[in-house]
Amino acid sequence: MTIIVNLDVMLARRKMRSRELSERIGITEQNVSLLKSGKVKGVRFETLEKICEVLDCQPGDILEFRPEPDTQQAIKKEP
Amino acid sequence: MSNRNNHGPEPLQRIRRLSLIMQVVIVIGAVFAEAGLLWVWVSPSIVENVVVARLQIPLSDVTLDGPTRALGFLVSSLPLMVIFYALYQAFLLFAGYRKGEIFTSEASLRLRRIALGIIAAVAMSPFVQAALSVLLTAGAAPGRKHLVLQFSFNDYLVAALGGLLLAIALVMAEAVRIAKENREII
Repeated sequence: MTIIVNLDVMLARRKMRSRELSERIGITEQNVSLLKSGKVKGVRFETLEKICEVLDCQPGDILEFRPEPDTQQAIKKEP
Repeated sequence: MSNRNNHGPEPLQRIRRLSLIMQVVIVIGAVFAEAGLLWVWVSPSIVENVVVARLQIPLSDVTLDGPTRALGFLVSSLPLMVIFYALYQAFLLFAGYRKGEIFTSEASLRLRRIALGIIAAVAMSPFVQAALSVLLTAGAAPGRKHLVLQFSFNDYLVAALGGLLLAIALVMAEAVRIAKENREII
């Protein structure tokens, strides 16, 4: 996965527990856990908006694009 | 895996009520179908009025002794067995619906099995009728034996219904895939 979810980092910075975040954004703690581990297919704008609001951050603070070496090479080879 | 309806409890309650009704209808239908078939083949006069009349064979060429009727019952039971399989799948499908299991791979699989059961039963129908015509006229004099091949408009309608159900089952499988994907988006 080249999109990294840095939600755990943001939670640590804000000194907030997953349970509190889940309660404040209205999704289950299990889903927050899945989101933290990156084991999801996608994040709704609605969820992202709530997370950003509660954690007082930008989407870029939570999501990060980190290209895999193979992908980078493939892009470079393209004319 | 269940997928609860997001539009409040009322639509799901309606599905549950309808599913319970359908389960009762299925059980009654299955019991009546088997009892009806047995009732037809027990009495020679009913075989004459129902089976022979439908096959349009002259009564003079038909043998209706015990063994022939017993074999006739067994041959007629073949498509009924396939229908019973489809009814059993429908019973399980509605049992799942009652538990709120609507967009599941099991539900779409059962729908597909029901459709295939209906199509198989319709496909068997002309062969069963042909077998019955041969069986009932097996004791007739040479030259008076019959082989009846029939395909009625009703058969066509039921086959079309089976095809429609199969298409819905495939659409359901796609809906299940989308629902699963949607659950993975938070």
